[in-house]
Amino acid sequence: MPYPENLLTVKNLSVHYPSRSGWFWQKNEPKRAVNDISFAVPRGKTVGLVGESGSGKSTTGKAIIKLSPLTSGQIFYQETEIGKLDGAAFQPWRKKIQMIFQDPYNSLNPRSDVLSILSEPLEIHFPQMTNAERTERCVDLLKSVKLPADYLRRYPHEFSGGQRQRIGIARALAVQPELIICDEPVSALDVSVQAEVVNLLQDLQEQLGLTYLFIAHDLAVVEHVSDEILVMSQGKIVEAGNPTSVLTNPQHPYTQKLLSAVPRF
Amino acid sequence: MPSEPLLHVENLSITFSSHGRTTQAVKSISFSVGTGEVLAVVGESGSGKSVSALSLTRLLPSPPLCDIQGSILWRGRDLQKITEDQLTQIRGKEIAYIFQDPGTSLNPVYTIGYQIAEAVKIHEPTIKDIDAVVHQSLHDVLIDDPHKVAQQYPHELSGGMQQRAMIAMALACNPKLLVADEPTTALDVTIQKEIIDLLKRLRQQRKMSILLITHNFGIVAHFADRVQVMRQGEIVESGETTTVMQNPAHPYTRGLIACIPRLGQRRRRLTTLSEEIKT
Repeated sequence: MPYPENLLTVKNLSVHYPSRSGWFWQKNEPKRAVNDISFAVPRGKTVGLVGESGSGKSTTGKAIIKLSPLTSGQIFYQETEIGKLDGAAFQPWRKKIQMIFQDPYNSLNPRSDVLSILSEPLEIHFPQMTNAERTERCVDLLKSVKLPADYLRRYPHEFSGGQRQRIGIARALAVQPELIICDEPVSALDVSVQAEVVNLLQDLQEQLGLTYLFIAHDLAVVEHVSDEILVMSQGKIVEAGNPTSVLTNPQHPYTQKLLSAVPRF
Repeated sequence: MPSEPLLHVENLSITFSSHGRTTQAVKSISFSVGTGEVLAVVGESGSGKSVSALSLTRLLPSPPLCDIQGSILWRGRDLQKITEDQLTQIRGKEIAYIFQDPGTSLNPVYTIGYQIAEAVKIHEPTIKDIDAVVHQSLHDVLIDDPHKVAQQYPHELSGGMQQRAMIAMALACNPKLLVADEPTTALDVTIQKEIIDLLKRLRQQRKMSILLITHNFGIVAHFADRVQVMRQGEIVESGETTTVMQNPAHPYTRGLIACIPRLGQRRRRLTTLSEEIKT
């Protein structure tokens, strides 16, 4: 059974994609993107998920909010099994779990202004809100990510990468989630902007008591933000624990290889 | 420093114009690259590091869209003043490029072998056995099965293999200067290490100069002889890599280095750049 202090508990999660190729589009062995992994995310903490491209880290994040199909395994939100829920039954949990994506250039609709980007989740999850209340809430959201209120009427192309990522964060915060899955939130940003966004995420966590699943490939960033870290390789979690001890004294050969490849100065 | 620089750029300014607005991307910068030297150019996006590298061999739009001032001396000749035909002899042959995203820089409808052969045919028309050159260049970038890879299309290769193929293409004509524009930014750290180790080895074997454009100070520290830091079209600091990294003189360089989270040095908050340092 999941422990109540864990906001999210993942048990034996697998995501396999069917694979077809060759003559007559024959069925091959399925691609095991995520293969029997288990972990938990305690409330108010940050769990870092690191691994290289193709390791299954993003698929894990997406499977939790049903953007990837679950092959087997269970996902608990506190004590409720949410892995099997679909459609309308999953809606209340989608409000509690939000996601921030890697590429701020592709994850915002270029034809919507900031007001409609931020109010769309509000229309779905808070249908009783009036237009004026929604606009007021959007202004507050911009303030919480340290952007001026007059940005509401602007479009995504008018912003820099760092500003777009802030808008992506504001959109995730709109429905007052408890858990945010951050999928490579700072990988596409310059180092100075990366530092600002990481600090913002940490401030928001303190103010709002948020819980993060922080997916990234930059070991130093993950070490900085995480309370616990999971190392993924080829669909499996190969090592888990306190970030400092995992990264200073790695036990698994894959973690060792990953660490030795980081150029230090 | 070698006595005669291979490349000497003097007072280079690049201005883009569109819809009646002009933007000065590079503001009168001067730098040189010696024979066999690795010069790293670091800076944030929009600092002008890529456009200054592209301007060397007229890879930017032609006037009136883009105006380039200053002199680009390549082995004593001003590349600004020579004809397009003469420049074709240098671009790709003496100065070769590799880019950030091998997936979009390679042509998806031709095989790797065809794309390498194309460069060899243009620059070395006297060579008869082009296949041998293609296979040798793939072999030089540590591809185990050059015959197979030569017949494959870009989408059949992983990111790391694509980048190797692009390096093989750039090196097939034995360039004297390789311009590497963020060669490992799109790659995983383990692949990044393999590519950087490969470039180090090739540089030693061929006594080739490298102009490395990056924003990763870790790579700079392990690879470059000298480094120059760019901000908003200007070079704010340049010098020997160890000096700049250990004793950065300019506040912008210090700020940029301080922003980077480092393994094993956990801090409560990351340092950020103040607005006045950024501009």
